[in-house]
Amino acid sequence: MKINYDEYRRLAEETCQQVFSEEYSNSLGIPLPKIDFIFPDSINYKTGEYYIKIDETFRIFFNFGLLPIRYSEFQEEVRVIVRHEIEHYMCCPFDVLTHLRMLKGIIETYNTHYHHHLIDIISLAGRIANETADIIIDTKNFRRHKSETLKSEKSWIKNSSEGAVKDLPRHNKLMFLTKEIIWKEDLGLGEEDEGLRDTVESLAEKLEKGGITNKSLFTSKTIEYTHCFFKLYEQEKQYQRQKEIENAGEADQNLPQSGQPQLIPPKGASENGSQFIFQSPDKIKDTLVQFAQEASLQQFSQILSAAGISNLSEQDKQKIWFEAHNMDIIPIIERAQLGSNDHYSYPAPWRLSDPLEDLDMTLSFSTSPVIIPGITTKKWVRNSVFNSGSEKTNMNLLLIIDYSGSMGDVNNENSNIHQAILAAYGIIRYFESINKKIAVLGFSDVPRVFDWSKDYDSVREYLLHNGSGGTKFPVLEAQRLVEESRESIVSVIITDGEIQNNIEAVSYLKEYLTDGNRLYIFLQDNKSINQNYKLLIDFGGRIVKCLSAKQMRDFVLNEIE
Amino acid sequence: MPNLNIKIVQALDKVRLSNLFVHNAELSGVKFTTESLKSRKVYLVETLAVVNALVDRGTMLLSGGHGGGKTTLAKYLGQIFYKLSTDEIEDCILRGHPQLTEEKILGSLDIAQLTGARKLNDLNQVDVVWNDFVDAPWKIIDELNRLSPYAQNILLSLLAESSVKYHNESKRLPAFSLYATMNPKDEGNFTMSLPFLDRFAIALPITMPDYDSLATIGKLEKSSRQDRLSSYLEDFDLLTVQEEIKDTKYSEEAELFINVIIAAYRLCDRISKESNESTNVDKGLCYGCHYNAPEKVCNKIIHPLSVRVKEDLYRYGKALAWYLGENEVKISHIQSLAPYLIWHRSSISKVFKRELRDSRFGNDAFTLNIDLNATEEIIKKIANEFDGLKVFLKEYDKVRKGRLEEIDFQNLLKEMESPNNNFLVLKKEIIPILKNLYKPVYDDIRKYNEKINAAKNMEELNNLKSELSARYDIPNRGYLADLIDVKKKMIGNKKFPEKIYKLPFEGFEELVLKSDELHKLIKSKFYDNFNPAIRKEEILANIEDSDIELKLEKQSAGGGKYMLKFKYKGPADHPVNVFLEQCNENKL
Repeated sequence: MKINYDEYRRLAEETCQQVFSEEYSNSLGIPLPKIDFIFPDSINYKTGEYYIKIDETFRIFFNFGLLPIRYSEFQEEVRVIVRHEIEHYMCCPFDVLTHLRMLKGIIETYNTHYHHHLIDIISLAGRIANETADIIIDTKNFRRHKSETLKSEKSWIKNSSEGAVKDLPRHNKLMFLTKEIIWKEDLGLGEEDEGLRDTVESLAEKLEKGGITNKSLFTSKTIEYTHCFFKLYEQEKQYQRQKEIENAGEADQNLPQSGQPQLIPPKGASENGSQFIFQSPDKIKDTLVQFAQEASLQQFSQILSAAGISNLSEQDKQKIWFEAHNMDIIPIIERAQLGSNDHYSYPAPWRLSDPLEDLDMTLSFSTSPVIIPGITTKKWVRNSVFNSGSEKTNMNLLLIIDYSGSMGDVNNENSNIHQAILAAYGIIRYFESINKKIAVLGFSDVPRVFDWSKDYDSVREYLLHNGSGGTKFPVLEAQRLVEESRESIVSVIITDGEIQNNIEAVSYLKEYLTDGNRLYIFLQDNKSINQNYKLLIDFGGRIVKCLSAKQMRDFVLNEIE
Repeated sequence: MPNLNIKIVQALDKVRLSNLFVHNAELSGVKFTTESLKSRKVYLVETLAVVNALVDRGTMLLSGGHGGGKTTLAKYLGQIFYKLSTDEIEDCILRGHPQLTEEKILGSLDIAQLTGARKLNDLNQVDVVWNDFVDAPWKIIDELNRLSPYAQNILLSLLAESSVKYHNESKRLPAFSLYATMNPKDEGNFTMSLPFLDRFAIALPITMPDYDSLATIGKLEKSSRQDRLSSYLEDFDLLTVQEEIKDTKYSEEAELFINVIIAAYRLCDRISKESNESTNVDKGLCYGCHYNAPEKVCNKIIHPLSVRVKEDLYRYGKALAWYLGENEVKISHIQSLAPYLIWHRSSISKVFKRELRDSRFGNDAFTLNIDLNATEEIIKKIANEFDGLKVFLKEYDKVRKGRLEEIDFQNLLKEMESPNNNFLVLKKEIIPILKNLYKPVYDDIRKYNEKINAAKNMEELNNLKSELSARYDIPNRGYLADLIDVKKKMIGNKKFPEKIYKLPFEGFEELVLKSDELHKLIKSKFYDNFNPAIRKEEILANIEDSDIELKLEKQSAGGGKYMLKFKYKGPADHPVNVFLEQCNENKL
């Protein structure tokens, strides 16, 4: 029989609309999902599953390629699925930040207590987080729509375990068992292992404590679930080992040699992380910046991988992290005397106290043939957008950074290069805000040059480079960059010590300052400032010892005051 | 006055058939319901322009390229509604340019008095001779954005207060309809501030006529057809119609919808948008906020709307419903109108506008005015959310009226607090109000409502009102006081028929000194400057606050003279009534 997909699609859309309006009173704020189908020839095809996707919109792909079910049953299934996805947004994980915190909890728990299992926690953490979230939201939905949720759950268990749920490894049964215990319903698991049930009962109690949908406890509930998961994994491993001994070498398929647990795919598996479905890439980035402040650079990178954010390279992640850790702008502001500005004139009454020369007799007569001072007398008022004093001059920025070996590793938060990049990011933010060009000159044995550009993201990316080699100041490259800039330049040099060609460099910088350019040198060194550098102070250069990015920012802010 | 809207449409159709005005874009979402007009299209430009005329003191801004017919439209309508000749309508126009003096806008001192050709006035002062523009019932300001900020300030008081001041004399303006035109930005014009734009109730970007319509332009000489415009609307008095429109009722939902629009523009889960300048939706305010969702509007709006928008939506909604032949204002009227009343005086997220522009370009739907399009999108989203929200708002309204049983009140609160209801207005405003303010005194509120309903005379109602004035713990005492006023008015209307008296304007200031009571009322309204505007009804006393209702209107009595028409309701032996009866010129 030919399946009428258009009719199925219409019914699915109608059902989604009903759930949105009748159960959530149109208050969700998220778009209605678009409906698509997965056919047997699709690479994502697996009987009984569906997946969701977010690109320009929220899309649910149903896998009903072989469905011989009634329309009413289909609608019931769609209702449960849509509710489930909505609750990921409305309840757990609620938002991207909570999801990342849950992942952090899982990875930290593993690293502290279970790392000896040598599991690839990065690829497993997302699944564990999803299972925890599924228990929470399915329980919420079960309590509101008992029979529909129960029916759907049983059918899902049947499909995903291919009818052999009893034979699944302990850790694979954890989510189903937890639901069965919390819901106090038979989900058809047929679990007879009393020890296992006791363990899960204890977990269920912890998950329910303080309210299962209490957002503030999601991270701690996830950690509890992770502990339980790995304890069961250990038990399963022991059991398999025992069995292996008994069966003389028959390995279990669920426990491969690498020790990586194979989990049942979660409900609503997604191509790009189901928790992000309602967020545009821009908005995710803001959240990532927020989360970066809660994690070390290494943790941040791991957690993003665990969250399935595959479109970010390691360098992208570093960039976000550095940006997040330098939320404060470093405003290298230069001032100059004001020039003239636009103005306009308008007629206004000339008062007796006004200078006589301001009186416009022609205009006054054209207003009234009788001159009454202060009433019919007129003058022109010049209104200009003009302020006396000084104004900011917007110069281009030349960042000169020492990439010698002593500057260290970008990932090491105590290294000089790490601090230099943090400071550079703050400075770049200021020049980005005034839309001026930036060039980068990195020096070690060989100079690295990033030519004048307003592509600030690429500049940031270019800075992410570890230190190696010596400290030869690239005078020729600096000269070239200065000549190529059509506007005045402020150069910022960040270095941790002695420059090999010190005399040559200082001589050039004197010349550079004489041409009306500006210079900051941040020395990441505890020693007193070299006599040669001191010469530059007389030419208007600002030279200061700053070990950290924060010190550099404080110096610049003090200068402004 | 049955079906005066038909007369207007007939006049407009004559204009269309004469090819004087040819814009064919339609106002979406509304239809005529008057039987004979059901097949008539609701044209966008003419409808909004007419609605502006139907509103008392309507102010409309028409923006668009040169030669799009903005000024022409305003002139034609003026000629039609006020039966003005082509020369007379020119006197109603103020043409904007940067060198406009106060005298060219408002008026000047009387030259005859200044030169001694005429004696000074009774107060020994020189009179101000006001320009025709000031007194004109139909005002057109051409090229508004060529006015300097100085001239804009002069007009601000005209628009905001309906009064103007020159030298030592101030003048309250008679009823008027105002149309301003504005060309695109260029080096010859000025930026207008948001508070100035806020004074324009409605704004419409006008496009050029389409290809088909252009085919008819320029073929015939139009001055003779233009001369006939003043005869297109016979037996029609705009001011009377404006008064009638004020009585148009609102459907419960339409009224709630207006409140929701205003609230949606204001609310934020994190800050008070009205007082926060340092952060906004484009500067990181919404990062990580759960209301930062595609269908929510709070993340797309920078500044809240002014209270004027609510008043204007209310007034213009009535005018549109009346024009379309409806008995009451419905949500569809508000939804169609709202974008035109909001876009020019709101501040919308640049990010949202950019995304919208990109998506429209992506779909080959090019945009005319991104601020208007963005506002339309926002109103659509608010309407969609309102669909789910209205049930709660109606119940909330019942709480204010004390119509819910205690148990239903508790259930309502519980339902509103359900996590399934992701409404910002419930979370931020209604739930806290219900919990903190209504819950402790709900029983009292119910009792007051019952007492008001049961009251049968003024005394009972007056006692209830004074009792309520001391009950600071009753959150809706303003509403209950209004209810008492309505009841008092009903009782007053039944008890006292309206009486009309006419007194001469000349010499009234001396005459009124003979009645302490009336003098007091006049003084409290006009202080020492008794200069009521022509054709504008002033309320001197109302039955809700005192024992009588008294209204005053200055009317032309012909021959350059004026008279004062008083409408009185109250006891026959009241001193004000006795005095007016004695002085009445024309006992009716």
